[in-house]
Amino acid sequence: MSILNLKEDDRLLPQLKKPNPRLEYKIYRKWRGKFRATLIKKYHCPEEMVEEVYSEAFTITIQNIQTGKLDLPLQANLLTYCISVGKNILSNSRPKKHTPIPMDEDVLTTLLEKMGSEGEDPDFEDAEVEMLVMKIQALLEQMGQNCQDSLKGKYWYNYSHRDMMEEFNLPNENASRQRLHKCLAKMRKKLIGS
Amino acid sequence: MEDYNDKDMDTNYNDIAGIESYLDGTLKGEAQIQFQKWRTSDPESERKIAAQRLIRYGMQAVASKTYQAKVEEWEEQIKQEEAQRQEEDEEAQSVFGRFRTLMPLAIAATVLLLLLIGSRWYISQQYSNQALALANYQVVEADRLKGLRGANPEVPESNWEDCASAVPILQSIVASSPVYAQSQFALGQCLFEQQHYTAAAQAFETSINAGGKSFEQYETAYWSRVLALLASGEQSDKEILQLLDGLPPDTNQGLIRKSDRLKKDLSSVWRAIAR
Repeated sequence: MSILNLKEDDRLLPQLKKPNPRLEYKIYRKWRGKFRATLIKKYHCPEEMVEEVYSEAFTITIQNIQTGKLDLPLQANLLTYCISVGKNILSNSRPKKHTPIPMDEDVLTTLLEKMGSEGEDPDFEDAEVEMLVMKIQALLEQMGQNCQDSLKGKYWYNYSHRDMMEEFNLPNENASRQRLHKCLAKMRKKLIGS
Repeated sequence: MEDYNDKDMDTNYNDIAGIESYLDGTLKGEAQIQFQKWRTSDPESERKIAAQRLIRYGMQAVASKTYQAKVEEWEEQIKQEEAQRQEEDEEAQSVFGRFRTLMPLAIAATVLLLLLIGSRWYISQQYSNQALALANYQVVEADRLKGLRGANPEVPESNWEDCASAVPILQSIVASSPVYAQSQFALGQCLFEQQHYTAAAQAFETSINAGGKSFEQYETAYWSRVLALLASGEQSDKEILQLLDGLPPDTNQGLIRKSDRLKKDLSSVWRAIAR
């Protein structure tokens, strides 16, 4: 790993902490060739899989930056990190084609039980994640724009209440907090009825 | 679609805030005590916490899916650009490839054509009637013309080395003494030199007839006549070859060799090309 790259990535990482589609696209293009070559040559990734693995690895890398899971000081450059994510995806790869089915009460109960009230996030089955994604997406679409902004700000982009106050022109952080709590309450009520 | 209004607020509001702080790991002091009280008193608390965790997890999964869908769009876009670029490259490559393949052939063909034209020109220069005649012709010897003057005291002294000046004088001499072989021979040589080949051939023939075989220059005059006829182009190669065969058998070896070489040249493929 070159020290120059590490220094460059030290400057890049803070810029990627907030959504910046133009920069992300630029980085996506920049890493693409090296990622593909490494996965294919070094980790024997089948060519037909490499695009899917790259898009997933890139998504995880960016989300880990935005959620603070990947932060300074960097131990390796960002591309190396992305490649190692890709390598993990490759080693855990299994057939992914599922036909999502609407979530019924039994599934929801299973998910709630698996999730529990404390501890690490459980390893859901791919089909369970698919169903949960469909359900949350549907609930999100039922929300007003303010709620969607608030929930996405908090859980997609890892915004602080100060960030959201500035982003959404709210009078203070408390207003942002109250709006988020109201929206969460509404979503939870739609999900479990209480 | 509507936002959560104040009127919708119920008792869950506080537990929402408490659970959020708990899940963020920021719960402390009095808030933590309140949260623990609520957790033990509300029979739904564990389910509510699990639901809120599930929402967090689900929101992040949706974010991943949404982001990945966007990334896949980028991938598609890049692939399209690459395919287009590859198509353009292939097109350029095929034009360039065709050009690259044909170019050496075109150069080779041009060089070959130039070589053929050059060779044809060179052969025509080397094997033309005039070229063959001149290659075998002997230059006029000035002394001989001077000797001629000795036999004709009326001939003026000047300009004997210059055929252009000599021709009118020689013509006046042969007009008054047509049977004088030497004068006819000298005239033939000068006319040959001035490229009046038909007239030269006639003068050589007259000199042969006038001098007969006893004429000192008989062989040379005969040879010169054949060359003059060849240069004039009025005789076919076959006729020239027949004339060459008519050289006297006792002709000097030098002329015999020249005659053989000329016969060979006239029968060669180069001569056929030059014709």
